[in-house]
Amino acid sequence: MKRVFWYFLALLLVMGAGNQFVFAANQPSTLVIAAPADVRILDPAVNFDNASWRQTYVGYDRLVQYDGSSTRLKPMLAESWEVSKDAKVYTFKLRKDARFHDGTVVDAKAVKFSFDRLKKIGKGPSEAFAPLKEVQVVDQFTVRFILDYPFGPFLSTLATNGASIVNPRVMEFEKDGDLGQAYLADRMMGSGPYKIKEWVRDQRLVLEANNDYWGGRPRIQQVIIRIVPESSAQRMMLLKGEVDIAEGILIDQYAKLRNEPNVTVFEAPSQLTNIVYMNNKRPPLNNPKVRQALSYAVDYQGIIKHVLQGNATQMRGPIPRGMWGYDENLLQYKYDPAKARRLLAEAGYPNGFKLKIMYADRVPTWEQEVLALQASFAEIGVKLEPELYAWPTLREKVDRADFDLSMGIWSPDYADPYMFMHYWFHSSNQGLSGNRAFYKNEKVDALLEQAAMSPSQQERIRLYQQAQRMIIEEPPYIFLYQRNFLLPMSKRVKGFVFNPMLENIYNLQNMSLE
Amino acid sequence: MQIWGFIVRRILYLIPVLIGVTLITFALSHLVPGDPARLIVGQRASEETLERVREELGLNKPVPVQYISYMKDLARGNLGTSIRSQRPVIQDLRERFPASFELTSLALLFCVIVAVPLGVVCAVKRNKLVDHLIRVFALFGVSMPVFWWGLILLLIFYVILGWLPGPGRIAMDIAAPAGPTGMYLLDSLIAGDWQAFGSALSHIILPAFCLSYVYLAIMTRMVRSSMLEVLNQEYIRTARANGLSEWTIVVRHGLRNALVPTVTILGLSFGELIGGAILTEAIFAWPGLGSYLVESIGFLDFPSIMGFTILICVIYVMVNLLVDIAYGLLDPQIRWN
Repeated sequence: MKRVFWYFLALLLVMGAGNQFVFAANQPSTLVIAAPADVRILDPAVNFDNASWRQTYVGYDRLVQYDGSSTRLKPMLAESWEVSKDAKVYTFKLRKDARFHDGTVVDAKAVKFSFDRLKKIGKGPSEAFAPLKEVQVVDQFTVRFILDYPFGPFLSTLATNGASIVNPRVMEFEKDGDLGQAYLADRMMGSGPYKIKEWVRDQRLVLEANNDYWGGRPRIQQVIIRIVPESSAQRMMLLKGEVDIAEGILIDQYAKLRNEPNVTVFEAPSQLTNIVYMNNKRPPLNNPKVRQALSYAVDYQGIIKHVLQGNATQMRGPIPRGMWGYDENLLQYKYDPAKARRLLAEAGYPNGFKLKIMYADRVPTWEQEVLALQASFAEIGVKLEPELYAWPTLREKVDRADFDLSMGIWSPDYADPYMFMHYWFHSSNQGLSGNRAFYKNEKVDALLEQAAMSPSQQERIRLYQQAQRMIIEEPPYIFLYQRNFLLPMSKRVKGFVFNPMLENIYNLQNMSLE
Repeated sequence: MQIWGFIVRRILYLIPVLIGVTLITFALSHLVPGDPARLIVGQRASEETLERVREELGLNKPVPVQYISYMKDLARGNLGTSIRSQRPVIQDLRERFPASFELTSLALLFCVIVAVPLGVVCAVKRNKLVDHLIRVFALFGVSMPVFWWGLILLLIFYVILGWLPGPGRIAMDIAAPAGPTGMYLLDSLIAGDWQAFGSALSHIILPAFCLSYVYLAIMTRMVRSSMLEVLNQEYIRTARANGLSEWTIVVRHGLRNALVPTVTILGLSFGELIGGAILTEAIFAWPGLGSYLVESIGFLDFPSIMGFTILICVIYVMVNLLVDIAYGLLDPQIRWN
């Protein structure tokens, strides 16, 4: 028995030696972020989800960047630019002091290389650059982009992750003509303020500051992204001070967190919209009156108040608040069961009908939202049958128009109403690519095409608003709400600026720790 | 020599088992509507891009053709490339498996150390107070949902008392031990890195305990009931009549015979836990096989799903083989053929 006691004591001592385990997040220059899942691929020409942008957006620079929390663009690698009269040629003057992490100069050749590579690889991120015909090197620090046709949103596409400027030396590591995809899958070869120091997959990814950054030495010298899948576990770590920012906390825990003395919950309206796709091809939903009726049958405020605990705003048409082109005077559907019943009767369905609605557990609040919809649709005689699907299956069924109603989310890749109007309503986008309601209206198509090609923002706003007014009368979707962006963080984190275009992305370069 | 023939025969059985399991898994995962190419190129990609990526992944061919080419690769020991991480599946599994193996082994070790004595005590002190107490403790373990239990453990030992670290495999400021096994406890011991060993050990205690509790409860009840049965046998009475000490009777003659069903449970639990500890892995941020499977399914990452299935299948067969060998060792009446 005695011997057992001594073994036990020795074990305790060893554990004590490893006892830095309550790792102080409170190191003055190390920021610790808890994230629910690890990223898979870091190549900006390949990767397509916000979670990986968190890393790559600070590892690479782009020609332009968003100004603070606004959707205005300001110079980044490009010092200035000129646009030709026909809006088909953009010429950029590059800054001369930018260097890749290995010291290579960031020049016009690197810019051309990055866009050529992006287009040749041709995966998701390249889709935003469909109108881009050619990139030309004018001189070492001047580069020219030539478009096939004028494309209003072009400049803001240059602020997306896919437009990151990659060090051309990646070609030294090319394997089987993959343009360095295998090499860049777990590395970054950019010129941004941070680089990767260590990556232990599914546990932690450590970024360290690039102290030679042209934009100045970052104050946060090290960023540790820890993978903690479970919401409550993240919350405990935040309260213990072991992490500074917790990304994966579920909405029902915020009320408690707000009372914690060392935690603030950052809150801002976002562009993440939640809508219900109505299959416009399938009766009775092919009747605009029915779609209007359903839009009037939803208790929007009830869902926002009870399911989202107030952390959302009802949409007013497709273009969300905070995006230019938003129309304050547009019709906003209100909860009005009497009117909904009347519209159903006018459409020839006084006794209602049955519909199925698809959802997935990917968005944790969807189940409750579906139940709320079920209850309010029942009031107008529409029997709603919820169907839970795995995420890839739901998407596949949406793509094939094999559904009545489906819950859906959407957030824009760049700051342009094109991301909503063209994708959601143009008939050429029918299917998963955007027009998931399978809506078709030739007049709307024409307005959208005109708006996409026009170089004038004023003109584009006018056209989009005109299209919105037509769309809202025959609503292809139920426009539910735009969610608030919520981020619980330690009070010692200073200088975080949220840009609605850059969800999950931190302005690490300008942040600091107390 | 009989045992070697037995082992070889059992390993050869693996081949038909693997063919059956891969066929079913492959068919099922490909029948589910869903397109992994979509998840790679993003939702807004054009049809041409999509078609090109499908071709790259070999998804444009008919499912039987895909299966045959998969099996051909498998025969060469190639598990394919993960769609999600674009890395060889074998590499993903090599990172995930040791974490799961370490956790499961420790959990079951703990389980045996605690459950066997408890079960014996229960049987010997049948219907006494101590028996009732232990049975309540066991019932508690079977009835508690693992996620609730895990969170409560974290709350008590990490948040309130601060005795043990929070989620994760090792402290953030300690380099992950690099070694041949991928198991942090073993690798840090091999390297003689006591700091890493201590940190890894303190990190594994809560998840291992949490994982073991359910099985501990089942096993305690199992040991108790089989001990009761054994203790009523005539040879026990004979042993008593011969005047053997109670310890010898209970442990040498009783327990050894009562262990056969326990070993069965142990083997099955191992197979179940190594790939199925999904909730425990999530709560304790433990990057094991269970969470790997869940992520792979969410992405319809066929090669990863297949790789996981094959690995678990091999483990099950191996563990059952070990269990059968153990039967023979425990009870000489059982023969290996």
